[in-house]
Amino acid sequence: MSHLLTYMIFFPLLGAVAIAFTPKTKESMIKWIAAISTAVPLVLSLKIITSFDRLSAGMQFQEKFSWIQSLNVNYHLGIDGISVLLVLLTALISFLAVFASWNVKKMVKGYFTMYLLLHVGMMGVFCALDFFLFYVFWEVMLLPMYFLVGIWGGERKEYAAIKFFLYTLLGGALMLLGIIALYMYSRGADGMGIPSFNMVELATRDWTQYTINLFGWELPFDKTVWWLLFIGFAIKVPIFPFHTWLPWAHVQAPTAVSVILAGVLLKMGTYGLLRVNFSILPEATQYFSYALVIVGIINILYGALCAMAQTDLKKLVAYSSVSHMGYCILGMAVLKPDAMAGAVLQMFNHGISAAMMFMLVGVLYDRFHHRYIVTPQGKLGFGGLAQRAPMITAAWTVAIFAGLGLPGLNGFISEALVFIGAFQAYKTETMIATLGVVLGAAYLLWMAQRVFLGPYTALHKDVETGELHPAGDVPEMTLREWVVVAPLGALCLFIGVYPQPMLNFIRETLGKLLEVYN
Amino acid sequence: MRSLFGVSPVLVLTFGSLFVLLAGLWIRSKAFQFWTSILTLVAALGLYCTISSHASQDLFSGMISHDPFSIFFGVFLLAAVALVFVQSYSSEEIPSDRRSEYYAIILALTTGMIFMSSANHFLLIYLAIETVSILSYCLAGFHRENSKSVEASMKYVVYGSMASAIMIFGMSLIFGVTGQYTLTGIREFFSMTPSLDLPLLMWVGVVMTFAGLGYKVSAAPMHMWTPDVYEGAPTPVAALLSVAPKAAGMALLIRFFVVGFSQGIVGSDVAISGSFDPSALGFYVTQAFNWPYFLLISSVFTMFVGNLAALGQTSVKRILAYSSIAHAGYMLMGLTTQTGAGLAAIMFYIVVYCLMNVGAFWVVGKVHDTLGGDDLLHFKGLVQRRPLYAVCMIIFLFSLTGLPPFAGFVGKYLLFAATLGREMYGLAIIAAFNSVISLYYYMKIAKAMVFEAPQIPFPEGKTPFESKSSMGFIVLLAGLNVVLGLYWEPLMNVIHSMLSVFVA
Repeated sequence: MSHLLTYMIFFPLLGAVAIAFTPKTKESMIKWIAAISTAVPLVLSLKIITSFDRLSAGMQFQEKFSWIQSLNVNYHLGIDGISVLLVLLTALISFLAVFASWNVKKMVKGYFTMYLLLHVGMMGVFCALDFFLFYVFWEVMLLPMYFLVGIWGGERKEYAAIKFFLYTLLGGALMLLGIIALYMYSRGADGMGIPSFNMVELATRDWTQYTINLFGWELPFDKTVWWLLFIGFAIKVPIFPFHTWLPWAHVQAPTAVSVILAGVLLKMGTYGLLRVNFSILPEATQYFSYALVIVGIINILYGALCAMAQTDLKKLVAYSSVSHMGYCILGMAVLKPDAMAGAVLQMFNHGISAAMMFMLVGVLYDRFHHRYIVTPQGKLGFGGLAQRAPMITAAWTVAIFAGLGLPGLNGFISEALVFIGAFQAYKTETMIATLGVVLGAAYLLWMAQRVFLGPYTALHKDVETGELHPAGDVPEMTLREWVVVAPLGALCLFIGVYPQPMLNFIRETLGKLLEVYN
Repeated sequence: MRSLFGVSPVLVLTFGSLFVLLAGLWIRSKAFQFWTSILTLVAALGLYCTISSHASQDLFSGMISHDPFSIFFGVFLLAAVALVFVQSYSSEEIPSDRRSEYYAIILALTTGMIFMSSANHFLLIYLAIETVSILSYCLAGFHRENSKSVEASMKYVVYGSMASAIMIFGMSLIFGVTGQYTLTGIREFFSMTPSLDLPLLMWVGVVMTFAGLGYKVSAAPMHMWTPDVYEGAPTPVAALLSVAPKAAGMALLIRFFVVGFSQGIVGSDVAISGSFDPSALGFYVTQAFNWPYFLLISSVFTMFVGNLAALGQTSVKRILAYSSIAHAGYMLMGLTTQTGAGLAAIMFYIVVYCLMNVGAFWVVGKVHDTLGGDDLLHFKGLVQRRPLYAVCMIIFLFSLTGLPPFAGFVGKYLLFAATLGREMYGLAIIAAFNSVISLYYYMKIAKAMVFEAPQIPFPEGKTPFESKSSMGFIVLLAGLNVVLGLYWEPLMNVIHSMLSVFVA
């Protein structure tokens, strides 16, 4: 049995310990330790990708040890077609975001310790196959996230941090109840079997035969538990109306953490839905699938409309995430192979393009110290940037067009797949959803016009006084920034042109997942 | 003679207490007083090891139940008291000229608590509770120069005597209905007369008795004394009161309801063998007397009162006081399930609660010693001043919230699992919401420590947070929180084996 996944998950923990014992003053050493501790998982994830059997629908690289024997809790890891891309995404984004946090000044040691702990939690969630272990990783992530937003964030960081924490913990607490309920009922109808936390095994059970009694109402077991779990994941995605933490957290978080939030954390919600709700409770999922379609469409349109109204660049990108995650929900909810493949690919694609966009917001913020598309006084915050900073503009252009789904870039492939699949099932609804593409183009291009085109009128915010005055020359992208942005841009282009290798990873697993749905 | 041997740990504690008190008159050495007290505890612990046997027996013709359950609590109480002694040793809140009294009172208090967890007879229950209460009043008012401390003590006396009076009246009513003095006797009474129409008086009596017991575990609405007493008492005393009498009270509460007012337990073999099955060990309420329903209401009420009231507090000690009320609510949840899993969860929770709460109070005490206060204000910027204390405090707070990978999560998990195992979904959902509420006020402390800059300057001429041994113990407690959060099977196995006592 290989321990590849264990090494991949826990190597950053070693890094965190090493950083804890490094003297506070050796900041560059701390940064390099962080870079190395995230590089190793990246290398391991590439090794996993290359040796992953694409023709198998089952779990691969499994590891299983007994952890708490009396509760039948196991340390059980494994990945399949759904998680393999997300593992790669996590490793890649986490590695790149280390360089995005290179200019952190405050409490460097604490920052990178928290950062590496976060890495452990994220990677663990995607690899855990034991529900208990899954929950532990899921919650472990909250702790560093709270401090990363709360200490190193923007002006309203404390509010954003506690809001994020409360929302996610609420979801987590309900999810825990759902997990325990599944565990209890996994003993079988006679209550004599051995209960199990094994996610693969739970997916083989029939949950429709039970009912539960809640405050005197007799409710079907599987549908009730479906909701408990769904709310937990929906808050993370975030699905309307649970999304209100997201603009705050995204906007207030430091650049690298926004990158991680958009790039990886949101995917945990959709991944959880697929791994848990769709796999374990198929009947309930089928029952609620139309509601999910509607919710997905609301996400797409509402997110896009909100994005259009924003004058803060980072908030615009944050709402565009809400909109783009809507495509994932829609693609999953229609229960068609094409759409489902599109949804999983969209998780990966959005991870890349949103990470790139947040990174680029950071690039602008470092230069101008503000994020206004339009200032409160009604002036353009960055007007005509293309004239002074063509390289920044070029990078932005790739990100923008990947985001709005231009053919040839990655966003197009996954969105097209989602719509192709969705159209087979729900014609009218899909047509309404395609409005989202138009709106997406509208808010992104309008933003591009106001930020990059026209005469150069960019403003610079004085950090001391908080006043805005015309900016002088802008330094171009530095090498460090290119290191982060270039690989993401290249991946956008590669997947846009040749998506087949990615789709090969997910096809078999999704095929098996969809077998239970007629 | 057998009976005397059974209570030998308590005898040792009594003599130890007297010795510390008398020796303190001549020997003023801080270390001597500390070590003799610790030695007394260790001796008592050693006696527990020699007398522990899994066969339960009644001592002094049914006054005391000497069984694995009481041994578990006895050992736990000794350990908790030892922990508080270590905390008190370096605390500056205990005046050095009154240390011998302090140790003597706590040792005597321990005898009361041990009797609470093993009492079977109403008279002994009352005496044990009174012993604990009266000594707690003294401890709460230990700062007799400080008006807050005196106020705390006074409030405690008023509430406490009220509660005891109600309780003893309730007991007399129960005696009036059943004609029995002992819990085992009441159980026999019920099993002899199964289809009995119980008079309303029975209800009244039990509710009144619960008032006295609930006051010890600070269940709402008998919780009002808690915040004032914790705030006024010296911090190590607050740590002790939040953990030890609460555990003893919980033990008494369990014994009172499970031994006295439940019918037999079925399916003993499965639960004892260690394999987990929540429904395997269950006890059922005595006919027509649905006490768990009543406890359920109290549990929900307690959770909400504790958590909601804590939200607005600015003193960390008061926050922890209200949080201790909320935690009493969570624990009561386990008893309402009427299952062995629920009881095991309570016992587990008591142990981890001790680890996290004493830890948190320890840090509060250190801050109090250095900066002279325990408001959120004093905690500001702790992470810059003493990162290790702040990190440990954060671990305690997360553990109290019930987040993995800390021990508090396991405690909550076991309680939730017990509740859901009995299909009490509503209660579980309410408790889950409550832990989300609690996050807010725990994070208020974390926020002050981490996000904000120090505000109160270090007083002149004080070396801040100097004690190395305290630091070591705090780190040890934080470490235990992590270890128990990741691997708790050994402790759980011990608890499962202790529960055998309720299998008739």
